Amino acid sequence: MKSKRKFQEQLVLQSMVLPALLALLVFAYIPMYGVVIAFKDFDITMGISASPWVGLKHFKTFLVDPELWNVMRNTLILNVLGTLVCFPAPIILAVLINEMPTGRFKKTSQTVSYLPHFLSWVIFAGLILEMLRPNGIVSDFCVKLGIFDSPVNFMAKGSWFYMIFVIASLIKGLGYGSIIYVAALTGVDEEIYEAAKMDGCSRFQRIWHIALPSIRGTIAVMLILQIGSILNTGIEQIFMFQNVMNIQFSETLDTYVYKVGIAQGRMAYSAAVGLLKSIVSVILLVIANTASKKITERGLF
Amino acid sequence: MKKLGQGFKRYMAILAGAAMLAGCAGGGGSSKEGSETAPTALPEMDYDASKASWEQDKTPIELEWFVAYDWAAMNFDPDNNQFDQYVYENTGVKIKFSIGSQEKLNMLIATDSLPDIVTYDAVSSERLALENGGRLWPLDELVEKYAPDMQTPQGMIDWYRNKKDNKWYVLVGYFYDLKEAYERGGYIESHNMNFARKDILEQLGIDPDSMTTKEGFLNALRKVKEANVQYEGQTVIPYVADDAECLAEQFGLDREDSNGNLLNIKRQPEYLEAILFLNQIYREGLTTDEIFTMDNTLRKQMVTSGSVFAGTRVNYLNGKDTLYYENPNALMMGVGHIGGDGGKEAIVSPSPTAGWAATMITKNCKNPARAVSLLSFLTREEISLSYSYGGINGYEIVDGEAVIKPERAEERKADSAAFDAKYRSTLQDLVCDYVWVKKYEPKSGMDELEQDRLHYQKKWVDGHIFDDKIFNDVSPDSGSDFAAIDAQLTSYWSQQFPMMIMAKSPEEAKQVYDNAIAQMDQMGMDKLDAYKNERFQENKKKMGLEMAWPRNQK
Repeated sequence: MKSKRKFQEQLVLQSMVLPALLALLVFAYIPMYGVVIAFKDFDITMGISASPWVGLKHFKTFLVDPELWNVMRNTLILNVLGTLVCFPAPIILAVLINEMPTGRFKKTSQTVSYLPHFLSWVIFAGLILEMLRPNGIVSDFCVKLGIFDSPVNFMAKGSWFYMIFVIASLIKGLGYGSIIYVAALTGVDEEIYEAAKMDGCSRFQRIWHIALPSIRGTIAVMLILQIGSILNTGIEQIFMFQNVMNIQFSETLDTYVYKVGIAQGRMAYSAAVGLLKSIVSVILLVIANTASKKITERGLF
Repeated sequence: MKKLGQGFKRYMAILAGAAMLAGCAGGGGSSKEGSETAPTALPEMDYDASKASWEQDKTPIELEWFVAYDWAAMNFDPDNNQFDQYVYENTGVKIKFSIGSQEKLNMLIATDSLPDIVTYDAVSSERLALENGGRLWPLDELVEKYAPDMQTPQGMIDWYRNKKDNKWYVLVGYFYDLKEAYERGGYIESHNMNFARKDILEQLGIDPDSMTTKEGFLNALRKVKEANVQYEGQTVIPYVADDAECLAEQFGLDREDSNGNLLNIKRQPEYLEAILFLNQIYREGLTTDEIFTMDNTLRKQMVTSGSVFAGTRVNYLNGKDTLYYENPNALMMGVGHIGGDGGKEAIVSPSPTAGWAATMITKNCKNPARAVSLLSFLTREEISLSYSYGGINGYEIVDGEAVIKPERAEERKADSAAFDAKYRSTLQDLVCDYVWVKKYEPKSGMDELEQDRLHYQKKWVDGHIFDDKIFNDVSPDSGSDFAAIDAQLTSYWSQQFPMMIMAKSPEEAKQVYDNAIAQMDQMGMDKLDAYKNERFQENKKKMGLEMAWPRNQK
């Protein structure tokens, strides 16, 4: 009753959220109806409701696909590696930026680190691929250092795909990913640092005992979101690096479903895989959130 | 916090419930679910036989035309574009173009919001869905009633006749009927040809004719490698290509057996021969492993920069024309086909004869008579010729050759983009009948590149091609289980193929090949072969053929 009265008192303010909720309803919830095609043999000219029901046929097809385990392996390895390498890196960069004295160098460093994010994957991958050619800068450098005897085509070494992709993703997303942590660190009371300094804390101790605990909540939230999307690799960035030499290592759930689903006009099959992925993601999200709440007392919900 | 949390949960529950209700309502009402409201009868019209179909009624009208190519620059501007003005003056039709992706076309189909006319790939599943879903007017009915003067090759009508209702629905640009194309004085090109750099051949004293045998071809590549040929500071790679199908065709590959059954080319001895040939080229260091990792842009850059001595397939060697125009001595000339071990005559793939863009009149069309008469106007010889040869009234036919008027040629040379904006339209490209363009091709004054193209066309292509659409239109219907198997097989083969080429010995290459074929049979290739053969037999029946392969027809 008290909350109802409070809601009525704040009606004008509360109503400001309505346009956003409406947008969510129209663009996120209403289209969810379309997911029923995962249980139908969808025919575009018949429409959703007139297409015949086929139960779990598309789910079964997906689960008995001989390529499934290979693409699952690649998807999980890329995401786990990505989490291990690309998740802590922006936090470290944010801490380093935070430790820099305010000035031109700090601003320039931040700007330079953000730039790769604003390049499309087509351009960014093009640059990386050019560098990794047999006569590219990386091969030349390695030959001059005596690491290799002759020029190497890095993109022809299938098993190197994981490393190449993770490093490329790291370079592209590092700076932009640090923004949220830099913002969180900016909010830490300067007086705590000053007090610690007077107590004789070294710079590393201040980072370890003040900076990192202060952004623990932000880190937890970001990690939960990262775990929730562990089955997603995206399509564009993978396709840019994929070739016949590395396809055994670069075919992920997203690219494979695109090839045998969407590109073959199998909308229902693609919807079934998408639904399955979403269910797994929600389960992972809930597990990660519960674990986070127990360990850090912070969570998404 | 706890109360707020409970309130929030209640709020979200209500929201989700409302969304589900809205979703159900939306789902039921968003699509018209088929074409129940589509008209079934065409209005009658008094046709005056003394006038062309587009002159029957020239009252201004606007037709909406969706082109499902989001890259296409479609615009109808009669005030500034001479071609658009010509169309409007002669037909009274103004076209309101819209463009979009395949997804947008799907959305238009699903919501039954198709405009008057639609253009998309002739070989797409969307075309069949529209035909089978009753969303299009049959062109044969429209032509008979409103536009008997439409100029369409009978081969197109026969080929694109719908097998369910036996009606013809689509006008297809760049369509070729093999026999009819040559009878009309045109010709059909092939992309399957080997090329080698003329300057390097001369520099090393290699006879181009020697490259028509496997050993001669390999010897030429070896000489280039041994001489460590440099071009503008870069080492020239002897051979850049990975097309086993092209080489197999050159070695005498057959696609139909003596009983008239479709053959899976990957199972044929010539295909294995091509793999072993490519393996030898790789083992001897006459190519680079970048053939498997580079994309079109990089390959083009490689060819354009002069770093390639020889290669196979015209469109694989994009950039050879640019190289020639930068340095005419660096011409990549046609060096013919390589003979195979079996000594069989090469029968090579032509440019796709099934055509490219299909244009269709939808049941939503507000005036099918005007729409089909517009298409009839666009099928005239002049429309295709003016696109290639200087615009409307921009050329003359002299001694059977289209000669661009000097003032138009000057204008085009001065600013080709401005010329295109003023005289040409992408619409001409969509409906182009390229046989006319080839028939009146100006042979006088051709540069060495064009002369070379024409030379190998006559020597190696004319009389050595087959009607590829009968063999290629056997793919499973989009969305079917066979389509999924097909995609899986393609994906698997693409992984195995480099291993065959990069194998350390021919024995190892053959072992990888044998294993791959066996594995693909386990994945369903044998069943897919049987399915494709059924489709092939249907294609032959449709075209009234008992045998479709030239060697079997003789």
